[in-house]
Amino acid sequence: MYPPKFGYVRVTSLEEAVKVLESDENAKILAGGQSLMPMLKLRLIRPSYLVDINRVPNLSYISIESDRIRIGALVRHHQVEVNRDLWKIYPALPETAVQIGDPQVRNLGTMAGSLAHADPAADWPATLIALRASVKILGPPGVREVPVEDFITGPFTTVLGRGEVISEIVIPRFSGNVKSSYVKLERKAGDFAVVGVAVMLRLSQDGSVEDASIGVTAAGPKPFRPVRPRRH
Amino acid sequence: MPIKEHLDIVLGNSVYLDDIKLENMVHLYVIRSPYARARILRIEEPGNKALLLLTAKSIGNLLMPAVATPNARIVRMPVLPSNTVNFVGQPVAAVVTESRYSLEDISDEVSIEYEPLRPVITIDDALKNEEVIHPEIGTNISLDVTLEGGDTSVFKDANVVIEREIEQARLVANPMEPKGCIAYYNDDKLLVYASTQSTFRVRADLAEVLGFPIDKIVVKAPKNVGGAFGNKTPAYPEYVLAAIASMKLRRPVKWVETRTEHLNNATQGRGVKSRMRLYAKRDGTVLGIEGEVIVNLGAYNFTINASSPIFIANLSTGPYRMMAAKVRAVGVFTNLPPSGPYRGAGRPEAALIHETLMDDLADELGMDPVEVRRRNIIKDGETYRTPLGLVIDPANYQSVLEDAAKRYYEFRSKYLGKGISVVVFALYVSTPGGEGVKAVIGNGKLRLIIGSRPQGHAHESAFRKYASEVFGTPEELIEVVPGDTETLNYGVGTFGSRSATVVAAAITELAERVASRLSSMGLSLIDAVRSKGVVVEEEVDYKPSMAILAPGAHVAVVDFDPETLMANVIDYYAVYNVGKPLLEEEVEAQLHGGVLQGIAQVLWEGAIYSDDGTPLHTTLADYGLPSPPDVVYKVLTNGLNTPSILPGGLRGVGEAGTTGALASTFLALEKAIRVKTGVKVRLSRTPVTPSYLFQLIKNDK
Repeated sequence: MYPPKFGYVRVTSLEEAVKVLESDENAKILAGGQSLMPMLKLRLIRPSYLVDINRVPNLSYISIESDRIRIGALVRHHQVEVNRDLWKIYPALPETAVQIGDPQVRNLGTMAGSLAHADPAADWPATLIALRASVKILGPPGVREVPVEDFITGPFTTVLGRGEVISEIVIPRFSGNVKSSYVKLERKAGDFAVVGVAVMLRLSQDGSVEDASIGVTAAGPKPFRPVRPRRH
Repeated sequence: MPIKEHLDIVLGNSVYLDDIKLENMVHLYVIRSPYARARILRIEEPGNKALLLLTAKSIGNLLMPAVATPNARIVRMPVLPSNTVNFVGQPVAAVVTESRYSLEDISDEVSIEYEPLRPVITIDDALKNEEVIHPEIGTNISLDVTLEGGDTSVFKDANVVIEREIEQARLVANPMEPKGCIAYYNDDKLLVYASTQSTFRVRADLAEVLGFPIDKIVVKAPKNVGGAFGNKTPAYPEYVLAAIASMKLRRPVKWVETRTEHLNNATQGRGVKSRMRLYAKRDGTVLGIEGEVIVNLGAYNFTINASSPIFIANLSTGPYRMMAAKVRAVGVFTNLPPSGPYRGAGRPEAALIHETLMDDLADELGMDPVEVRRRNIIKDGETYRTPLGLVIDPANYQSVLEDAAKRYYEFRSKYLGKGISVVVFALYVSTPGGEGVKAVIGNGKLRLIIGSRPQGHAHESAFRKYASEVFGTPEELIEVVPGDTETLNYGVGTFGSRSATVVAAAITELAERVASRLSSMGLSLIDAVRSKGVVVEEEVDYKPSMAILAPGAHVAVVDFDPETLMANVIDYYAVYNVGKPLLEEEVEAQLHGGVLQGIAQVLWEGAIYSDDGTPLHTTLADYGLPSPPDVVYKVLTNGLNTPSILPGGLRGVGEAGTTGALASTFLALEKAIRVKTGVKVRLSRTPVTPSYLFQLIKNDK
């Protein structure tokens, strides 16, 4: 339960992190470390360097704008859990946060880290897919944006290329009467999901559904959007 | 007012084994088999980076102790195997280094070549004997004896015959701090610190394996043994390796088990398959039981596992009067870690066997489950000898059942649409061997050194209170110190629900002995306490002639979701008889912890192996260990205490929670499934996972 030897670099900007990651493909970002540290101790991974972004300023924001919500790369699950605006706008987000792991995990683990780790049973992807969120990626050539459902390509794999880091998560806002929720089936409290389903609905004035969006996690090699939900 | 020793632990003022650091200490790491069964072809040494590499070649063919059992074929566990490994996680070699950090790096460089062999994993596979794990005995069956008593010809008078087969998965002990030791060989003496339930047992085991004089070994335990659950009773191969390493290096050697190692190391509990028939008359009178209990012993006989099938078989008649019993007790070798005592160590297994049969009988006859039990239960005040020869000392089984029955009926009217069960059992209290207790009086204190080892229990507070009563001295003058092989001549240790009972009995005798000695010296106790220097030192090695049993009855309420096939306990009631509670809140706490574990065995926990012996429980999450948010019920407890015949009159409670909760949760779940789905299932395994239920309900519909 002791990690193999690794190097440690503390960066002060994401641009600096990009440079390190570009020069050494075995370096790994350390954000909340809630998946990374156990894997290190179990010797499942042997990174050359941990690139610690925890001291990078201004990455812990939850910025609520008129047409979108931007979530910084260092936002911890707990910040989402206690954000009153998010409870009003998209309850699915804090509902997801409170169901992740335990309080210790939620105090340190980050949304961006969870996406980058791409565990097929992670909670966030279901909700972010349902909310049609995308991932903003900073890399050597600059910034690109990828929808969450395309960002994760399989178990523990993403589109992140050499030198690329997640800089923020962008969640669009919709006008009108919007409802959202995340429901997780777990064997025991705090476990990974047996299955997790998030739904966003836009309702018209008479209460009929104008638009529906669903995200599912832990039901396949990667989270997905069921395109033709079965009618019951 | 919180109990002193608990407050110390919560505030971080305690000392665990891994907190102990001796000067010049080095660290030992064990390289383990990745195969369930394989031939060791070659071990390549890691150059000169390690201080020491131990292999079978360098230490010789040393074998761990195993309890002798009549008619058993005993195959003991090697400290390090020379030819064949027989379970994933079995020690193959050990490395010693200066720093804990370099240990695993250097161990990674030891290359070991194996030739995998076909493993035997399940009880059924072992019984087939197609592959024989230990060719020297020619079979996978270690033990196969039939216990029989009473007149079995009454079975043919039965109007009803019930049969139930249950296979209980293996369980991992999972103490807060896993096992560990520090061995220091110095000046011709071996000093060992071990995270243990019994310093005396560790000393005896080490003396036996090493062939070292027992009086040259001192075994001590840290202030806090962070849970043990049966797993920390004997010495382990790792302790022997640390001792040998220290003898070679003349430096203190520390080994601490990691959580990953713990999940697949000896010893694991349960792993029991039972097939039992119950014979009864139409009026609900039970005539007797007949069947078999098969224990998956794992790869070797180790500690007391050879006799474990007999122990379960002997308890299978429960707290009921029967005319005859015939139980085949079988132990088989498989390529799993050696089994050993774990939380109840046969008691919960037996309670599940007799309580499922009682409910099945009620069901078959259309009788109330309380009524069936009422008809057969041992009478209040009765000394009862079971057909298999176990003597159940006089207690209040009827009253305990009736008290639980009241709550059972209340829950039945309160919780409609839920599953509700009532179970009753006789908890075997392992008093044989007794316990040593020593009084050291003077310098302002009555010091009591006790042979029991707390593992989170409040022994110091409980026995201080009890000693204050029997010595007639204020608690402030009494200091209770858990002893070890240096401070006591005789000691046994804490397991088998025994410590309160035997230590209180020993203190009772000690108080009499001290009083008569003081009166012959013309001293009062308070004078003796106040005198300068120690004026009296007296040790009582109390050894009772018989075991006693403690009645218990539990009521569980289970809610079941037919859509997800998941279940939860939502309410719980436990009646106990501890003879005389030393600290009420401790009795309750023991029950709370035990109940959670019993529930967990039914709903979540299991050390599960694939067909090739690969463990599928590689983390605590996979294993299904419960955590605080899983406690979504309250446990109400009630004491109906009647004194036992031992001095002090106590009975045990340590394993009562687990013993009652396994059976009660299992049966309440079965009833909840019936209520919610209309399907009359007979569960036949633990854990009862949703996927297992899916198969069961689908097949039934």
